[in-house]
Amino acid sequence: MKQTYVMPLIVLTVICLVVSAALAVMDSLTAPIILAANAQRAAEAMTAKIPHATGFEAVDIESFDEMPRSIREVYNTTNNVGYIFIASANGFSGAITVICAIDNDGKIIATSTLSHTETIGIGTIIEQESFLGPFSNQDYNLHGIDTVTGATISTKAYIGIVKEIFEAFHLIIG
Amino acid sequence: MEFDFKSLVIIMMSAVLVNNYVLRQFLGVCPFLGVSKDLKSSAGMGLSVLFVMIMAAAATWPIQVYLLTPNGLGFMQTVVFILIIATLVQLVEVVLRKFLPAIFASLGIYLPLMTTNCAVFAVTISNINNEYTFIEALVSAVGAGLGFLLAMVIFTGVREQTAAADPPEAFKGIPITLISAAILSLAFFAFEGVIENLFK
Amino acid sequence: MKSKEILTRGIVKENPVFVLILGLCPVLAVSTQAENAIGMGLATTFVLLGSNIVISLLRNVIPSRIRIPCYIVLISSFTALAKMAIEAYAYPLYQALGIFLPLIATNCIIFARAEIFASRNNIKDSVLDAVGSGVGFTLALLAIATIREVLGSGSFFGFALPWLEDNTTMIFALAPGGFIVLACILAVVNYVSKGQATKRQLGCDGCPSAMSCGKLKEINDGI
Repeated sequence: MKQTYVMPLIVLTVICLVVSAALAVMDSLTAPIILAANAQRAAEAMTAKIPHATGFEAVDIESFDEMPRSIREVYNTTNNVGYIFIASANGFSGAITVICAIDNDGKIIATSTLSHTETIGIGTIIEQESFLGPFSNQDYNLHGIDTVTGATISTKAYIGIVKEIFEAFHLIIG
Repeated sequence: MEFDFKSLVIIMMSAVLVNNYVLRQFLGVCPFLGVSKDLKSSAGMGLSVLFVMIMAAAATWPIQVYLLTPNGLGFMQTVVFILIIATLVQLVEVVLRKFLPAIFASLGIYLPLMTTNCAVFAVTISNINNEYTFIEALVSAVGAGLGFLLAMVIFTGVREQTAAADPPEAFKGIPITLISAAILSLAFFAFEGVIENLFK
Repeated sequence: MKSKEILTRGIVKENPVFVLILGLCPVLAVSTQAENAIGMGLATTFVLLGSNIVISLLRNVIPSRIRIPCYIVLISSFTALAKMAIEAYAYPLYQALGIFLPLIATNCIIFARAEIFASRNNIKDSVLDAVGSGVGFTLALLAIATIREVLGSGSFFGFALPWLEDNTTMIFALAPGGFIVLACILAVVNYVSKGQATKRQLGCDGCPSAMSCGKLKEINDGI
């Protein structure tokens, strides 16, 4: 009786412990690389948006009570030429993450999609220049920007995110 | 706690119709093809998946958000989620057998299959990846489960027709079943327009 | 059984995808680009190799009543290892595979090899078996992905092909295309093997869960 219950329990526990230890070791090896790579990609994406920025510093978004839920990260430029916003919200099938640069006058410098899981061929319009290009130089009214037929939900979600980015921008500017 | 009802409806509808787990995302293809021979077993399988998906989503979300993430144990996600699903399935089986023998008689046989059903596992992971709230996670699980059930039931009807058909020799069996699945998947594209216009 | 036979069996005679019809979800989902197909194939082979080695090593230690939970833990942890490594060193692949990377843990090919082969054979044979099945899986994925990428995106391994790139057939890149291409390949397999290869019914025969359930099989056979 004892044998039939004790032995399996010991084996399973030992396996679980060994496995957890192995995973923890692997995590400690890879986590710094992953973090560094993510930071690198973010920095590259930000520099691509505002090439004449000398550097970026994170804005503490926790300190704003009315910050929209979609806003993930906000960066100020060290030479005060504009702000970078990273925001995400649900599109058609999961999160769309947007990076958007706004200058001090409240006009979009450039915007693009960091990641999304929208349907290939339909939702992927939010990666294309034909949709993203017109955002440049827009203020919060987004004149002439409209949803795209056949991809209404994806594009509507995208426009919604940009609008919330403007809300956040006005909160931070004060 | 505030939540956006419309976004919940979109999550639900797109999970059921547009991003149908089986027909669009290829999750749970094995049971979809294997257990869709007659209505009784396909409905049983579909209901079991729906049930386990909701349970699994409800169980894994708090564990990820309150246990794994705050303690920097994100790397244990895969192992922990699979174990939770496996344990949950066992638990549900025991509980059903004891307290709801009628339901157990019809669904019980499909439960052990859930452990290696990638659709159930995928729901729990994508809830976390999409940073859903608890309510959104539950809704997406219900949507995914209903979508699976719908696909199963429709496909059973299709297969009853193809069983009577006479395809070329080489296409008999699995190939013709896959072709039917392709056509059904194509048909589901139509829902994209429906959802698009519903939520304009 | 000869070593060579163990190795080649998984590639041709018992190809996990085209003959045993296992692990269809990742096969259909990540086969839109040949590059991703290779990545997925290699990641799966790694997990298969790891789990086969460990399970073969522990085959006399693991009591048979708890073998299924043990396999689940081992396979999912190898998956987690692969996931971390890919995220750190091959980020584009990590993004392309998306949710199907953690889903390797529920790939029934791996489970089937553990239960059917590694738990009963020595390490050397288990390694050969894993390599054979892994290569078979990768080649199957690559075959489907090649067809889908060439016809659906007009490119091969990301390189645009003349003429085809302007004349893509989008359906091959979308979900239905996956089913159609797989169906056609299986039909060819059927034709070549004169119906022998995929004669068995879909469902429980190859399903590793059948081992833990067994009941469904009876039901299916009964109908």
